[in-house]
Amino acid sequence: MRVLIVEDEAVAARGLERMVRDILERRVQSVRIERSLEGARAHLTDQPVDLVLLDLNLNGQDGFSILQEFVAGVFHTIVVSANTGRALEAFEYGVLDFVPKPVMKDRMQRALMRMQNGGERGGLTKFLSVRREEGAVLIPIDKLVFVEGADNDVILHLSDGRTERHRKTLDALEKILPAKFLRIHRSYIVDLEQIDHFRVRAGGRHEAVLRSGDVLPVGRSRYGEIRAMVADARSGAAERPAEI
Amino acid sequence: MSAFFRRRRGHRRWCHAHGALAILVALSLNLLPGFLEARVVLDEGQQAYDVLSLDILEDPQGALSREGAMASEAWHPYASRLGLPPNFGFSRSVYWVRMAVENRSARADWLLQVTYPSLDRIDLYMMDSAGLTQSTAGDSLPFYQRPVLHQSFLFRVRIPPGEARMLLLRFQTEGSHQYPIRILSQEAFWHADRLASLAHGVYFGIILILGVYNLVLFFMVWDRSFLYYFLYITGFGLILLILDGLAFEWLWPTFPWWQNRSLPFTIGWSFFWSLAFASKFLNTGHLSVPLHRMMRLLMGGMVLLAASSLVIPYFWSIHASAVLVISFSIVVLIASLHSVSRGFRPARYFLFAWGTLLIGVAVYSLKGLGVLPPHFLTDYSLQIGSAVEMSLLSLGLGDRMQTLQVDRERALGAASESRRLFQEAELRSSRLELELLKKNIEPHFLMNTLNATLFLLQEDPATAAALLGSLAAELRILLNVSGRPLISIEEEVELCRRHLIVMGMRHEARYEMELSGSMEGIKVPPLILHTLIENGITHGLQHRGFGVFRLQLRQTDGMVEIDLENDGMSGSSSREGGLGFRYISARLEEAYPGRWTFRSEPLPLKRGWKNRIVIPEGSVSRAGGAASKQEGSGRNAWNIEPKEHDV
Repeated sequence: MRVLIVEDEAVAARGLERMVRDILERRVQSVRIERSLEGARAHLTDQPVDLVLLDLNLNGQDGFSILQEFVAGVFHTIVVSANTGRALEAFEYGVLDFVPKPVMKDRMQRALMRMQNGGERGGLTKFLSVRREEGAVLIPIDKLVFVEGADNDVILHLSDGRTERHRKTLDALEKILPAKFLRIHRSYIVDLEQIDHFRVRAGGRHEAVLRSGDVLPVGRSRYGEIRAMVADARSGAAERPAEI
Repeated sequence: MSAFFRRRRGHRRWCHAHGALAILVALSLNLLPGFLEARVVLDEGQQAYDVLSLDILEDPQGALSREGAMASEAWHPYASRLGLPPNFGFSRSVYWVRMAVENRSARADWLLQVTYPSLDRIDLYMMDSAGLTQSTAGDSLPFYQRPVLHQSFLFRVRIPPGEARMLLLRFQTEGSHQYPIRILSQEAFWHADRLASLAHGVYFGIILILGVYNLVLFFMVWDRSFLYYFLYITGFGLILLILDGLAFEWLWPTFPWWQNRSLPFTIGWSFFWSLAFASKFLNTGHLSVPLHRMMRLLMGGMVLLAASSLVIPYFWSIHASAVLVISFSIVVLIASLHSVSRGFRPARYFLFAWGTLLIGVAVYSLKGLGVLPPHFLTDYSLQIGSAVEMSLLSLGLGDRMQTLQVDRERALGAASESRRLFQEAELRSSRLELELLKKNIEPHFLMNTLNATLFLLQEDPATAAALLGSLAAELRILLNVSGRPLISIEEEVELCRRHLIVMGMRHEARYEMELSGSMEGIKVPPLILHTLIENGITHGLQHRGFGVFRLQLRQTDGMVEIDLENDGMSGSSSREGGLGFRYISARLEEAYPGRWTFRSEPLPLKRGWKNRIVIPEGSVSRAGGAASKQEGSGRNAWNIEPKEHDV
């Protein structure tokens, strides 16, 4: 894992690095400290980074405009901040976690574990940030129908028919999207409320048909589980025999 | 030698009697001592006659009998000028009047009217075929004893057509001797009386409405001016009712004792309230002390008049009322002129109103003196003048109410506005104080410091301990000073020094504060400089290992100049920088309203930032007392930390 620490205070930055190395041990590939936003941006442009630990109160600047920019990245963002008043808001932007200062080791450990396990799902995310020329733009989650995995990033399919590209991988997104978004396939995450019904095609191919008419494949191994989850959520989507 | 007219027989037809009558009348009249000019000739064409020429006999003791009067040599003719009735002013004498009335009309029944209801007693003597007729009327007699029930004095006179009669009248009164005598037919009287009743109705209707209206206003607004005004105009209305005889006829017909005292009493009553009204309306208490005293004196005079009118003779009380009324007019006129000159707008209505009344009174008096001719306007000048005056006063009351209301609202508005501003400043200040405290103790400052301390504990426990110590010291001072409006600058500087230590340890930098100038006696609101230091570190000195704050203090001309410079760049673009500046402004405004300045700007050539605060010297501020009371405990609090924690 390649970690970037964005923290302007020397003692705090050093301490965070020490803590991350202690927790991740050999899983950490590199840890870089940047004391300013410009430095952080420069590094992110050059180097691949998996995780960013971000202090929102850099040099007295407004953390959230910075945050918008960061959560659009391919990496996960963990906010490390003294101001817990805005933690909820940070989660809405789709951060992986929010660790309050003073940073305690067990709390940081839990946050870092989210990266591996995906354990508890980030039910609080309300926006996904996408990078545009003019800057980062927030896309409300309730407009998201499904996410399609592409080569280097993902495509967000929105309810109005538009699509947006997002830098994170499907795996990464799974960790921050609310529970109603299911990974139905290696390449697809879908909002289960958008599923109209399932069908089985010849050859054992399972499909989910969305209200919008889109048809998405469902991974064989996941099918049962997913159907059960959908059935739990509502009276149950009927399985119709597919055309042959 | 009786001068009785003998009954004349003859044709009633006036064309026959005309010539013979004239001779006969002339003959019989020639029998009387003195050449009698007083004669009224009643024609068919005219139904009302003013008796303007008559014979007068003054009877100073009032001792003459009828016979004695007729036989007297002292009769002399009287012819009035300009159509005015005989007027002998105030006199204790009795006056006899005689006139010859020749009836050349076809109607026999006529009325003799004396339209001055205040006369005490009138006796009418007439000799005819039935003998001597005597009628008596007067306001010293019960009303119902009058020959004709009317507010003026009416006597029935019956003269057969073509005949003549001699009428003899005896006037006795304590008041003014005015004899407006008319002879008129029933129809003419009826017609004129209807007109008069209508005019009375209109006039007293105006008074009644104004009275009721203002009384209602009083109960709505509780401004005593309206009550005084009501009492004044009802009193004044009563005066006129008395003068017209209507009061006697309708209010107290069986109390002639009271009737004879009612006028001066009611004058006293009415003008007392008029003075109360004028005094309140013009606010003479605040306008001019001598005027106010004068009014109070006159009011006392009115009370005396009213009281004494019940016991002393009418003759004296009516003279006294005349004097008091004149004094009243002068004083009120002066008072309203004075008030107008002071710029009290409603006083203009007042002046105008009183002016109108005085003009009415003046005209009436001038008519009485014979300077002005009789005319509808002069006859009723008193009523017209007073009606206009009362209406204008009512208008003036309305204007005054509005003016006072506007003034009151403006004052209230200003008072509540300034109170609101102060409350707002206080609220803002305490809110910002709370926010600042929260800001310092909660998130960034405290948590970041603890964060650094925890990390330092692993690296360098000694430094961690020192950091905790300095943090505790700073917090102690912070908690001590933040509730106080002013603290000594020594405390503020100490707070800043502690802060610089803490931040230096967190940043692994060296921050220093250099002080020049004397700190003695300077008081500042708490956390003023601390906020600036914080801003300076956050925005300007962050990544450098070294930062210097220079504090310069100067006292000149009762003002204290505080300059705080640092050699980093500081901007207020961030949210927290703005919050900090608002905190400083609010505390300065609370402590030294309008007497402070605060500037924060970059230094021109050198890289750096400069803050300048200018405040008055500490002793001048409002909050000085509270500050000095708590200073002792403050000093104790931050004096006791161990010195070894100083870096």
